[in-house]
Amino acid sequence: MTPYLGCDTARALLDAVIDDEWAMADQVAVEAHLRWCRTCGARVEDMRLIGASLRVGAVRPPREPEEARAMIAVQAAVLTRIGAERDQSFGVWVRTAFEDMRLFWPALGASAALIACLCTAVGVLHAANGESDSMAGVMESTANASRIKTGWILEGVPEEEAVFALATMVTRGQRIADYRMLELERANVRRRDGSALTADVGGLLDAVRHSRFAPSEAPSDRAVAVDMVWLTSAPVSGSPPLPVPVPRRGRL
Amino acid sequence: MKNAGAISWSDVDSGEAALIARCAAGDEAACAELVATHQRMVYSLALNLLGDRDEALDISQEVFLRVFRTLSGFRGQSALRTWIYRIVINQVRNRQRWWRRRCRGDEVSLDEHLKHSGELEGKQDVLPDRLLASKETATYIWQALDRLPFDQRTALILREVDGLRYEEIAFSLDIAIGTVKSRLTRARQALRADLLGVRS
Ligand SMILES: [Zn+2]
Repeated sequence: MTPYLGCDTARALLDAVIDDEWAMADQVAVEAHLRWCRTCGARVEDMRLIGASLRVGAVRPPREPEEARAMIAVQAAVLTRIGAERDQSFGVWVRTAFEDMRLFWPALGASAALIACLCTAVGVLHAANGESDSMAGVMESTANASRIKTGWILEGVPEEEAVFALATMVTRGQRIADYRMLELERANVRRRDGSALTADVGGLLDAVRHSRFAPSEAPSDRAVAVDMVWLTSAPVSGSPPLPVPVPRRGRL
Repeated sequence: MKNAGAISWSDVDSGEAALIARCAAGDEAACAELVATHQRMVYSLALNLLGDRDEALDISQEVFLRVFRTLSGFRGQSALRTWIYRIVINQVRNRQRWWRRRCRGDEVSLDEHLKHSGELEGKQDVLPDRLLASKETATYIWQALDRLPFDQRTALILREVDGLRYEEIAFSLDIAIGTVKSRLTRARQALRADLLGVRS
């Protein structure tokens, strides 16, 4: 049996009927209603008339060939413009990226600062190794040199001799300004008790502290750093050291 | 209520997808093909919404520039045609806003329109009810259409002239399908009231 549909319900479905978008369930009921209700039937006819009128009015006689030419011009203009925009796209991309990346410049600055710091640190390390401007640098360099050279120097030292390696600073007055004990090899070979060893080291250091170097014989006035090895035999009694100069770059 | 965004990738066929990919990659021949395929449709819709050939040509150019600039963002959320419809409608809507701001308080066109309507009203005895879509009726309906709000007018044109389905109209206007139905109903009621006024 066909369900009864009142006018209000039917009207709510008429647009769907016109547009052919109605649900299948409504179809039979609406068609039945339209068979007997002239009011809704007239409404549907008017809506169809409106649709037909819109389609009729929308068909405008084309203005050829002006319109065709205009469309070709539009197409050409669009393609030219888009092509130009694509050519510039990299620049645009870069600009856009910079506009969007508000943190870009701070980040770039921070990165540059970090790189600068690393470079400076590497430079300082290099200077410490090569130039030895600071006292610590000089002493560290001397220490490294001493460690390398102690081995071959010891080859010529009798087994019963003690060997001390010191890093020192020599002032322009040719005096020892500072020293650091670097090596204490074979110090207990000859001495069997530690107290005697300590006394010998103290005596040696005392002698070193009171040593005075002869003025530089370097051809220029420029100061140079030297590695030297004192070879001295115990008991130490302030005997003059026997310098073995090893010229190094840098200055004192 | 079904939403406008519910149209799926299946609306884009493989040939269209390939054309879109070529355009996005900067293939000029593909871009020319895309314009040639849709230019008439764009121009006609713009002309129906604006009623001015020069404006419609101008809008066409803006539409295709917008299409190519945003094509990389097209995700097949609709058929390409429906997506282009949406761009046309947005461009026309923006232009109408600008036009209305510029012409605020200008009553000349409305006076002209009423005068023209009056002429038609005098001819109501020669407007046969049974003659579907006579030229006079069409002229009158189009004039009545111009008085409707933009979304009602556009929804009705998309449905009756361009033959879009509800879900395509919903996507083009970026509204829900239920809203499409109510706008179509209101637009038809308003036009029918005008028509009944002419007849009586
Ligand atoms: Zn009824």
